[in-house]
Amino acid sequence: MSKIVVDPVTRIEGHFKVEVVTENGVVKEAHSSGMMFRGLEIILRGRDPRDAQMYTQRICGVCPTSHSIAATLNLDSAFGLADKIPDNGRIIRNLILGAAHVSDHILHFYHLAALDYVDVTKALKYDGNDPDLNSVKEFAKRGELAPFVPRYEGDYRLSDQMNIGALAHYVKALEMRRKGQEMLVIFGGKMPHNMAVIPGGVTATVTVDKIASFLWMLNELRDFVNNVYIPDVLAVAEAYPDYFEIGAGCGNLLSYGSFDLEGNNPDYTKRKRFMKQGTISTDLKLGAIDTNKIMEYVKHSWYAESSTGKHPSKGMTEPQMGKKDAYSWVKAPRYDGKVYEVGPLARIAATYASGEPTVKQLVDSVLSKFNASPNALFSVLGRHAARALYTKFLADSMPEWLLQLKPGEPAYIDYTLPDEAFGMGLVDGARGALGHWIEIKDKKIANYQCVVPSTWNMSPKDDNGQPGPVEQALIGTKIKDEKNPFELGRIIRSFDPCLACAIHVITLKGRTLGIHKVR
Amino acid sequence: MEYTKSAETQTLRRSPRITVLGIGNLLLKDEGIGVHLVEKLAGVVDNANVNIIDAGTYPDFLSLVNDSTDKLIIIDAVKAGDRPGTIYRFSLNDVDLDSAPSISLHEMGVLDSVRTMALFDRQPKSTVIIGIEPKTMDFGIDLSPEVEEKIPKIINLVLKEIEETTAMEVDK
Repeated sequence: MSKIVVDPVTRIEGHFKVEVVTENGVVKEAHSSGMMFRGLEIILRGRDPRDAQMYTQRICGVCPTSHSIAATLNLDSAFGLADKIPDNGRIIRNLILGAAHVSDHILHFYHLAALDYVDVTKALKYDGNDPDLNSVKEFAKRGELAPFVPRYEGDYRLSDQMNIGALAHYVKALEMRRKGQEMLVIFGGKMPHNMAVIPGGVTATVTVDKIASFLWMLNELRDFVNNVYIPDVLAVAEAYPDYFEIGAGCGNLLSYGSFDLEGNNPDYTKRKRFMKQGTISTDLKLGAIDTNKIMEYVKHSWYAESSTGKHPSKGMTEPQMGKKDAYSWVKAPRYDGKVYEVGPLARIAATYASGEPTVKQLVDSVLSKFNASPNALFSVLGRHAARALYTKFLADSMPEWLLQLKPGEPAYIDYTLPDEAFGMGLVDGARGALGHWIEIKDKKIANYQCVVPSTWNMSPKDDNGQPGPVEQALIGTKIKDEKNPFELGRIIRSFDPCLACAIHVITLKGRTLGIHKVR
Repeated sequence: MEYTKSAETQTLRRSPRITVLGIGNLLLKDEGIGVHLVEKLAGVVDNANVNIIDAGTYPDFLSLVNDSTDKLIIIDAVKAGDRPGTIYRFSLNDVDLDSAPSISLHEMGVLDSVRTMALFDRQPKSTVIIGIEPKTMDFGIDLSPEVEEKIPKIINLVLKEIEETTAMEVDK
């Protein structure tokens, strides 16, 4: 038996680590631990409910936009506005969230996941004139590859030419990211942490100029997604086909859906959404969501035992460090007592199962290319493919939304703050099902709870001992080379985990010569 | 020959462009000092060549910085072990980074981002980091008194950086 720890905590304090125990090269046990306590609920208590949109965005620097939407849907429902948002407001929210998701998924693939498959050192073999690639080559010659290392050695299978091509796309993706942000800012006002999405609609106005600029940037992003991102994901899949059979996970998927296509149904679990909401298992049948079936368990988390088995709306945050059998700050959310994975795969699977023709055609064409059955979606490559196809489907559909905007018409409806109310906001963020719950008393927040996507995916064991989705995806995996456990990193990263809030403090270690203290 | 010379001396000049990035998590007390600071700074600086950005905990800082930036000023909490509220001023060359495998986007730190800029030759002509030693990074939105009382001093320091840079001339 040996133990492998994948632990990035040395760089950024308090994050998340995964420990696996192997026997004869096969993962026997896996423990996924969130290492940072999230006390957001404590901060929000007693504040004006309208602060929730601004503060919850600060939970996470990666997905602030998704939090702004979930918080706002939550407040809409608490304020009795969920079926009253003007179409312009609904559509602009969709465009803001869409801009965030498209750029977020490009970032994930190129700047994190691709480096599991692309060999950066092949830059040394480049002999062309591209200044960016020559710059990478110069750095590689000097042994300076800071953004790309350390990395495992061995299992890189792309040809030299493909490696070099992917590096060029890595650089291009940086530019696309910026484009996506500029696009979001047209209606969002600011990125990160947009200011536009508020209860009642959005603060932005609709003008022909804004529609035109948005469309212009969107078309550039679509070009990149269709002609670079999708082909690169397929090329990786072709070189690593065994990853259609690695990292299957729990086999249950949950999607809250995203991008409201109608504004007059107050029930977020039933209203018509672009990406469908529902539960899916390996039989690929779509089930309706009953939010009463969501419960959070804490037997293996550092919270008081009295808070286990509660619905998020009744959730409590009572930390109890050092609790026996606990190994994570993350609670274990379960649906109907079972383990569910969330993310782009769940969104795509739900929409596929609903019979949506474009998604069906996209998914089927990829599956037939690899001669794979729909069950192959439950895998490392299935997650990457679903993420890429989702990005394409979304980006290709956004121009139509833009044309539905009506310049000069309102994007916001006024309201009065209730004395007492409950609210619930559900949306699929980039990384999956995101839920916010609020209780208001005396016009103040009495309780606020968020169940974020990575809480589902990275959850520890629940009270019945069922491991979380990432833990299940790791257990049973055969590791070819324990010194370079490629399989583990590839499985974990395919979930695009995003836990707690980053602490971006700079910690000075090692050489600190030249630090100038200001008196 | 004469002609070439005069063309050289007539290189176009423009005012330097400055980007100030405030980095940090507003929900973690002193960790959020960078964000608190740029909010205040935005009310003080009135200069079209200075771009002040609340970057929060965004992992991809470099995409927020315009390519035409001549000077990048980063304001962030910095743990160097001194007394809380200590202000540091340093450049990128002054620090070493411990590297570890990235699992989530959150691991893309400030310095990684700036290094990626260097990798693709898109780094500003100069980068300076103004750091403040935090006292507490617990959950909460208030700054500790030790850090709070340094705000006017940090603002003056940033204004001085801006002033010094503005006095330089930059080749177009």
